[in-house]
Amino acid sequence: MRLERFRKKSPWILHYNAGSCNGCDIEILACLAPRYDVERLGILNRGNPKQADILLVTGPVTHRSRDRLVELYTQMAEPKVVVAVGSCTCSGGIFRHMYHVGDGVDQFIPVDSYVAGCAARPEQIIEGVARALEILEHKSHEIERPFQLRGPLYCSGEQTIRRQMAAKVSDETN
Amino acid sequence: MIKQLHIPLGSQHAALLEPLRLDFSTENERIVSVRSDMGYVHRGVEHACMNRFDFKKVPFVVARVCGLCAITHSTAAVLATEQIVECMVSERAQWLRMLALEFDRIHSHMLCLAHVAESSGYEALFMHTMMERERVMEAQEILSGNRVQFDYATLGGVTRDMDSQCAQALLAKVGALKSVLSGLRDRFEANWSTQMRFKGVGAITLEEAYRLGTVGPIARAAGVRTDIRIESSHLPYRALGFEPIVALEGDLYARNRLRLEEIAQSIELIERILEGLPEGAHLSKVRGRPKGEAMARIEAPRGELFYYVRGNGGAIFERLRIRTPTYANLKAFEAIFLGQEYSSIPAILASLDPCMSCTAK
Amino acid sequence: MRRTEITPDRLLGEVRAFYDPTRWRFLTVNATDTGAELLIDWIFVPIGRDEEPVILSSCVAYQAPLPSLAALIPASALGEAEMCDLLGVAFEGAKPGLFLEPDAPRAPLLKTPRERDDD
Repeated sequence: MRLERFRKKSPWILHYNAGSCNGCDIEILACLAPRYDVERLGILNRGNPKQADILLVTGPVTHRSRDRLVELYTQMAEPKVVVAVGSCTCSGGIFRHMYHVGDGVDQFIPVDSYVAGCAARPEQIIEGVARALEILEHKSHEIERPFQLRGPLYCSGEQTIRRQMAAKVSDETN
Repeated sequence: MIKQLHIPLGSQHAALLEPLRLDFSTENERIVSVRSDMGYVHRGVEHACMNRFDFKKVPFVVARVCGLCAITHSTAAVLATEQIVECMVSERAQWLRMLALEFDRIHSHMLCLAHVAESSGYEALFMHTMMERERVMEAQEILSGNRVQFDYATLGGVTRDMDSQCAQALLAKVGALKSVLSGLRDRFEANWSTQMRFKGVGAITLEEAYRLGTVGPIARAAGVRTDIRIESSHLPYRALGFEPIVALEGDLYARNRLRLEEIAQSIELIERILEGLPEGAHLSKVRGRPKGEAMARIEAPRGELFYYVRGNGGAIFERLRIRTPTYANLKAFEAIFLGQEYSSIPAILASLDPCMSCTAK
Repeated sequence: MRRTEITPDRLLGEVRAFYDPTRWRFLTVNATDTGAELLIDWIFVPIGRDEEPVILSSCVAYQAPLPSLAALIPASALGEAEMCDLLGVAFEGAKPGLFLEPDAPRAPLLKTPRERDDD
């Protein structure tokens, strides 16, 4: 029995709002509710990064939420996929170049699937997640790193300590 | 023996829809102090509206402050701006704005109720409420063309007119919602288990509600007769014969009941609006540029929303200030949490219906 | 908008004179950069009746210290902290950091934003 086959059958979601307007977040909630019901695809929303396979991010990544986002990302076990939900998440959207945001999630962490729209419709979100699942199938256990804010990654014996990767804002990113 | 515990909640948590950090200190199970950090969502919308976007785009930009109450933000911005530019808004446009506002209130209240149900462990009730809520989302789509960010209110009126076919479809949607609402009320109010869970939890007294300047459903559930629909005359709510609903207990149960009653009231208002919708143009021309200053207040689903705009004759505002309902209620949140059991916190937090994107702008 | 001009040192007395929490709600404190100085408005709205709001206002220099209403009206602390953060208004007891991170611009809503004092 291979784990890869079954991972796709029950992908768990971690949802993080990195400064979005809530519009996409309530649509994600609508996806979990009976009308769109992603539970039929085995998708459950669990607020635990250790158990999650898919990171659903909304929002252009505000300054205060950036290291939380990176930390959540690094805490997720490989293989993992990131879905950027909403226009502002993909590129900054209407918030682009505002003084307290960092234009889009892909400035910070690698994104696998982009869902455009302000706000993204539930159908689009489901499609984006389905696309991400196809990518998840072909991913290996190689550790993926965030682009910014990373400190060193420690390996002690069997264990990989990722916490430091999101430890501080490094000087060259300012 | 008293054991002191320090429990942080957030910024990412399964019970939270949006980033908010609450640091609780507890003695055994009881909360003794709380500190909140609500700046996670600060993007700088006010700054962008004062520097990058001209005044005609501002209603669409401020809609992105908050997706839950987007229409209230754009309506408030529009009502404030229209006082300082040359513009005649037709009666019909004002009524259509009220219509969109009431739909928004229903969907927001239902989301809050669903969230309360989920946070207190009633998964089926959450699913049930969300299922019924889809009717409102569809109605909003019929009215404006989008489910969430619909940019309906614009300077001079609204972006889309409504024909009789659309009105019929909307009436059918709210009619269907009306018929299922009593079942929903039964589950929230008359159910033995939910009564045990909600009664007496997370209460705020009338004196505290006054002292801490609470607004919206939290204040009304505690007995404060405050509703901007009667306190301001920007929108013709008086023509609809509107009267605010007030409860007394101020606890979680009262807030749930108040929200359910307000949903019923909003349905009634929608029916009256669709019945008596005046004829006229839905959009009129806007001339000139904003000069002078104005403020507008409207009743958002969470309470009083305040906009202040100031123009100096240029295309870009000199100052735009947003004060949102959750912002006014934050002090009350802390007062409500004190003395509660930690296990009730997610449910209480959901029933307070915080909107952090609003608060941090 | 009808304003009542006051001086900052008279603020607490003025507010005490009319503020009754069951009749008036403190809406917010607002600051506007007029180009030469700051225009500070303390806005109070009536509860449950459609009447004119009471606006106490005062023009002050940019860094002038201002009294805090927090002892009288707990809800005012947040507005004061925000104004301190976004416009650098020196309210008594308010510290920056409510919204802005250390690497964000200082007082961004001023017409000429302040230089960051990186030390």
